[in-house]
Amino acid sequence: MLGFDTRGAPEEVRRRVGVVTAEIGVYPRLTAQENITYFAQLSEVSDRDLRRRVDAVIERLDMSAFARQRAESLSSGQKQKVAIARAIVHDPPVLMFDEPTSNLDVLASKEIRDFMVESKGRGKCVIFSTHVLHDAERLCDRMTIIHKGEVVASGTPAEVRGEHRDLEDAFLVLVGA
Amino acid sequence: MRAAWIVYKKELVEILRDRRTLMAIGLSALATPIVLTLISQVSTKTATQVYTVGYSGQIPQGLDILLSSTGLKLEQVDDPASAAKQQVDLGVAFQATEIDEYYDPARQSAQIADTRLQTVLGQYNAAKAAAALQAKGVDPGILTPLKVVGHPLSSPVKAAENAFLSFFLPYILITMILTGGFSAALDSTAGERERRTLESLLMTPAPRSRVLLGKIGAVTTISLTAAVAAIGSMFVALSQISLPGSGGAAHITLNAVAAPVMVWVALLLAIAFSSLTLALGTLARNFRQGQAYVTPLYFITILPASIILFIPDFNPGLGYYAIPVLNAVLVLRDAIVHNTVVWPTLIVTSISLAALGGLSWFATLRLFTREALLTRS
Repeated sequence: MLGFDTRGAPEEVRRRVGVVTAEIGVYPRLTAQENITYFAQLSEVSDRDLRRRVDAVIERLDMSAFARQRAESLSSGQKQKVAIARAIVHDPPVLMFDEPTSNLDVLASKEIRDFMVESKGRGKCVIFSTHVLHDAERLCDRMTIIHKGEVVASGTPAEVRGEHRDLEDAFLVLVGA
Repeated sequence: MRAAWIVYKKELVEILRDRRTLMAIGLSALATPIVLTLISQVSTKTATQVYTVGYSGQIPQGLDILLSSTGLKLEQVDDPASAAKQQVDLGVAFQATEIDEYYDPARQSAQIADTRLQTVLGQYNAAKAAAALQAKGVDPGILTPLKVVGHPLSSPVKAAENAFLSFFLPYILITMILTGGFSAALDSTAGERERRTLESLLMTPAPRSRVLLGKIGAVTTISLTAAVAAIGSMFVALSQISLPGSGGAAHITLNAVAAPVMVWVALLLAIAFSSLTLALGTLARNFRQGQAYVTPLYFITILPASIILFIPDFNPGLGYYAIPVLNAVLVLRDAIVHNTVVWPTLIVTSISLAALGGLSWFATLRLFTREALLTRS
C-alpha cells in the first residue's frame, strides 16, 4: 500500500490508513473528544497540531454538541461519528470503510455516505466494503466483487454490471446463484 | 516511549472513572481495619469473658476466691457431668482428696474454662504445698530445684507483634496487589476486545510493545495504590486498637529494614501480577472469561501466606526463594521477624519475580502481534 509492504512494514501502512468498521468500538468512559485525541496522539499527530486537528475534525463531522459527552451516553450514529473522526484525525491518504452503515438508521447512514463522497472529493482513496450493492453502485468509481475469497469481477460499476438489468442481477450470475 | 506514556495516561483516566476499580481500592482500604477491629474485639471479649463452672461437693477453702478472680463463676448443680453438656461450661465434683472435672472438648468455651481451671488449681496446689512445707520448717524452694530465669534477647511483646505482622502484612500486600489491579487488567485487555476497541487501537501505528508497556504501567500503578491504601489503613488501625500479644497499649510498627524491603517486593509483585493478569486477560474473549482465568491466581497467592501461618518456623533453602509469590512472603517474613536483609535471598527473589513479569510481558506481546487476536470474538 502506497509503496509499503503490509507484512514487512505494517506500521508504515497503518500510518497512512484510517479504518472505520461496522463494530463501533469507542472507549465508553472517555468523552468523544478524548477518544479522538487519544487516537490522534497514537497516530503521531504532533502536540502542536493536536488541538487544531481534533477541533477541525469535530467541526467537520458536526460533533460539537456532544464532543464533551462521555461516549457511553452517545447514540449509535454519534458513536459512529466518533469512530470516523478518530480514523481521519491524522489525515491519512487512504480511508477504509468496512460496512460502516450496517448498524445505523437511515439519517446516520446518509451522513456516512455523504462523508465518503466528500472524502473522495478531497482526493482521498476511499475503500468501501459493503453488501449493499445499491450503495456500491452509487458511490464507487471502481468495484471488486469477492466471493468465497476469490475475485469474481473487477472494474467500473458499468463494466461489472455488463448487460444485466442491475448490479444485483450481475452479482447473482457472477457467483453462480 | 511517547506511545507508552499516552496509553498509560489514557488507561489511568479510564480506570479511575470505572466504579469497579474504585470500589476495589475503597474496599482494600476498608477491609483491613474492619478485620483487625473484629479480631481485637473478639480477643478482648474472650479475655474478659466469664465462664460458668457447675460444681457439687465442698469447695476447698480459698479456692472460690481464686476461681472468681480468674473469670470463673461458680454455680452449684446436682450432677456436674450432665450439667457440663449444656447448662454450664465446665462441671466439677469436689471430693475429699481429688477433683473430678467434666467438660466437652468440642466446645470452645469448655476448653478456655478448662485452661483457666488448670492454671488456678496449679497455683492453689503449689501455694498449699509451700504452706505445708513451711509449717514443718522445710524450705518451699525444694519444690523447684531448678529455677528458670528467662533472659529474652529481644522484647517478647515486639516478637509477638512481628509474628503477627509476618503473616498479616504479606497476606494483605499480595492479595491487595492482585485484586487491586485485577479489574483494571481485565478491563484493559478482555474489556477492550469486548467493547471492540482493541481492533482500532492495534490499527494505529503505535508499536504494540509500547501499547502493552503503557497498560502494564497503568495496572501496576493501580495495584500499588490499592496495596498502599490497604497497608496504610492497616497501620492506622493498628495504632488505634490492641491485638492479642501486642501488649495492649503498644502500637505495632514496621521496623526500618522491613519497610524498604516491603516497597521493593511490592513493586516487583505489582509488575509481575500486572503482566500476568494482562496476559490472561488477552487470552480471554470477554471480561467474564477473563475473570474465570484470573480467579485461580487468588488462591495460588493465599497458599504461601498460609505456610507462614501454619509453619511459622519454616526455614527453606535458597531454592525456595525462586518460587514466585512464596519468595515474596519469605523475604518479607525474614525482614519483619529478624530485622535483617539476607541479600542472596532478596536477589533470587528479585530475579524470580522479574522473570515472571518478563515472561508474562513477552507472552502478551506475542498475543498482541498475532492478527488472530483481532479477529477472535
